[in-house]
Amino acid sequence: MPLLVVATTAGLTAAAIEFLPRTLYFPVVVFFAPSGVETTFLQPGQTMEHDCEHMLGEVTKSLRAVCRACKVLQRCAHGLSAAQRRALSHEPIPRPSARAANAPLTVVFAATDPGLAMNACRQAEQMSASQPAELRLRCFTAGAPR
Amino acid sequence: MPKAGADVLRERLEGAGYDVLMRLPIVLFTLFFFYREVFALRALIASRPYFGDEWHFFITVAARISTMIFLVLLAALHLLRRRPVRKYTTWRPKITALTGLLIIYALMLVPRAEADARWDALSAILLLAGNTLCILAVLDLARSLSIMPEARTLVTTGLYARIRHPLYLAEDIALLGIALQFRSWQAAVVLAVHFYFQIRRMDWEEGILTAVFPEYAEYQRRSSRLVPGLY
Repeated sequence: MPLLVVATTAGLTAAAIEFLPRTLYFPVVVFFAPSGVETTFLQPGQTMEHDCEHMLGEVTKSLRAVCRACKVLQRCAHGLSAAQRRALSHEPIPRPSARAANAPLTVVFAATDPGLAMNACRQAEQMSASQPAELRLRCFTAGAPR
Repeated sequence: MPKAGADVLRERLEGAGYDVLMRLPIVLFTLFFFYREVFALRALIASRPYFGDEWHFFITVAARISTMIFLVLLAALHLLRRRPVRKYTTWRPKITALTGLLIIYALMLVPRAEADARWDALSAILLLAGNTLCILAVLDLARSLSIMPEARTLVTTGLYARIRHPLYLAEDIALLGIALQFRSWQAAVVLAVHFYFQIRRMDWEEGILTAVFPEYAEYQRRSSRLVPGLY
């Protein structure tokens, strides 16, 4: 009986980890700059769709102010892909990325030229220096522990 | 004089209706708290959607899941119980029993502490022990379970051979586990009040069982109330 209870608890825990994110709304904003850099903003999920949409609006508005020529793709995703989960985690990822010091905001930079993506990352770090401490970004090179 | 068919039917409906009325509120009440726990778990997972490979977060979620299992067990226990053969007609034992039970839910209204792997691990262990003991006690008890101090059948086998109230012990262990997720003076107060009413509840329950079952006094002599050899 104890083993059965332990197994049931572990099974339900694993199921919650796997399936509950699909009931949540994750704000995902992708910016395509004319320079060829693709910037993805990832944030923790929201339990309510309107909260997610509000966050999308805030991020898009502030980024539009910086880059009017950028193409934007925004959505409230149900759940996250394995790559997105990894990007939000503290594990190394194969692309340059920036994380906020005390907030779970993660920005991933991609470009055909890796140098270009890294430059964009550094630029984002510099631009956020004037922001409040919790919104200041720290840039990490591809594969670096974060 | 034999009762008319309509009278018999009315008596039966009144009996069954009362029984359903006594069961449904507490089951719905329990399910409401279950729903709150699911919502809280969703919010927790929303804030940390990447924890799949983080063992400490797995433990935190396991502690929450164990709390939900405990709530499901509570709801199931109330659904499965038999109708009593005798119960108190005064309000004091009923109020004592209800307070002892409802205070459990008050614990879940206290603000939860920040997730902490060590506390959550201890919480999960206590909840696993409490839930296991609860299932074992219910299997022994079959359907002689009740919220109010009522006599159904006397069970003295399995866990009940050594402890007279293993279900209360299970409940208290699980509740201690839940309290560790909250870790505040409010949680400590709720726990203390619950323990007080739980002891009073046992007093009332033993009173009615002694009155209904003559062999209960002998059973009391050869068994412990809650913890073998200690109490």
